[in-house]
Amino acid sequence: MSRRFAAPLTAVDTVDIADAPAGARVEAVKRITGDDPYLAGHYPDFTIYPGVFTLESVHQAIRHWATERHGPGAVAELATITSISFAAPLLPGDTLRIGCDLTEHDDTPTAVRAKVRCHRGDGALSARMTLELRIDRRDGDDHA
Amino acid sequence: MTTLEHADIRRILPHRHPVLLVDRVLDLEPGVRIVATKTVTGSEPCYAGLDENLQGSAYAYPSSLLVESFGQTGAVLWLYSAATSGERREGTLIFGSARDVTITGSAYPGDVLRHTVEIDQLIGDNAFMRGETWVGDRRIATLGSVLAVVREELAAGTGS
Amino acid sequence: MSEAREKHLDELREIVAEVLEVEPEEITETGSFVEEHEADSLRAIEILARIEKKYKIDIPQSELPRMENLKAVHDVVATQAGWQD
Repeated sequence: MSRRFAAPLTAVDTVDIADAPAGARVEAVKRITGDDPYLAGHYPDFTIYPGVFTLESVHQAIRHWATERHGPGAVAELATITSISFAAPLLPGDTLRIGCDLTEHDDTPTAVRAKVRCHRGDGALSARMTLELRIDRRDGDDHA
Repeated sequence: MTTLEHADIRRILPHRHPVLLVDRVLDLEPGVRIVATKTVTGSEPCYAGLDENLQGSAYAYPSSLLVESFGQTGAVLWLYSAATSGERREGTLIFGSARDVTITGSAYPGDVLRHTVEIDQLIGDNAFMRGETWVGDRRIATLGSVLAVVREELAAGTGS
Repeated sequence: MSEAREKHLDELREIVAEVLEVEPEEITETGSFVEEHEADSLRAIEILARIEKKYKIDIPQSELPRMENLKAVHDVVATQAGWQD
C-alpha cells in the first residue's frame, strides 16, 4: 500500500462517485478493524474508531473525487470544518457508510462544500459534518 | 504556573501510543487555559507507506491528527482542572462536536505544534473549548468551538 | 401575545436554528427538534449552552428533556430568567 499524502490510516475501502446537479455525490465504505494503525492506543482496554478518523475517512473519499474530477495532480485540502458532530460510536466489526453531497461554487471552482452524513452498518447515524475544501494542484509543485 | 511532562499527561489522558498526541504542557491555569506542545516527526505512523519522490506538501501533518492533538490538549485542561477541584469524571472521553474550525496552514516533520486552549463553558459532563494552533509564529488553525464529553455505558448503543 | 414574548421567541429561534443548521423560519413553536430536525443530546447541550451564555443564567440539566420544542424552551428559559412574558 502506498499513498501520495500523509494519513493516519487507509480510511476508505471503496469509493463510489456519481454526478449530481450542483456537484457530485460521493459514497464510501470503511470496515472498522482493530488492526488499523493508531487504534491500539485508542484505547488500550477497548477499541473505538476515533471521531477524527471518521473525518479522515470523509476527507479521503473527497480526495478520490478530486483526482477523478480535476486530474491526478489535484489534492483536496480541508479548509474549514463548519460543523461536525458524532453520534453512534464505531467499534471493530462495524461498517462506516459515508454519504457526501459536494457542491462546487460557481465563482470559485477551487472551493467545494461537503454536506456529509455517516451511518453505521445497522443504520444508526454515526456522524454528520459540513466541510469546506480547497482544491490545490500539486503537479507544478517544487520538489523542495 | 503549572507545567506537565509526558508522564503526567499519561496519568490524565486515556490515549496511548501512537495516538497520544500531546507531548508537554508548557502552562496550565486550572479551569481557564492551557498551552501544550506536540512535536511532529517523520517516524510517526502517518508517514509510513508514502510514495517516493513526492513534493514537500505531501508531508503536511494530517488535519485529522491536528484536530485530535488539539482536542487532547483541551481534555488535559478539563480533566486536570476537574481533578484539582475534587471532581471525578467516570466514563469514556469522547469528541462530541466542533464548529468553526479553520485550517490556514500546515505542519511538517520537525515542526512543533503549540496549542492554546481555553475552557469556554462547562455544563456537567460537557466541556466547550476554543483555541488556536501555532507553529512558531505562524497560526495554522483556529478552533471556534470544540465540545468534549464524558459518557458512561458507551457500549450500550453499539451494534454493527 | 406580548411584544416581549415575541422578541424572546425570535432570539431563541435564532439560537436553535443556528445549532440545528436550519433556517429560523423552519423552527415552529411546537415542532419537535428531534423528529423534525434530527436533534440529539449533543445538539440539546449546545442549545442549552448558548442560551445560558446569552441570558447569563443557569439552566439545570434536568430541564433538558423538557426542552423539546421552541415553546418548551421559552417556558424553561422564562422561568429561569424571570421573564414575565
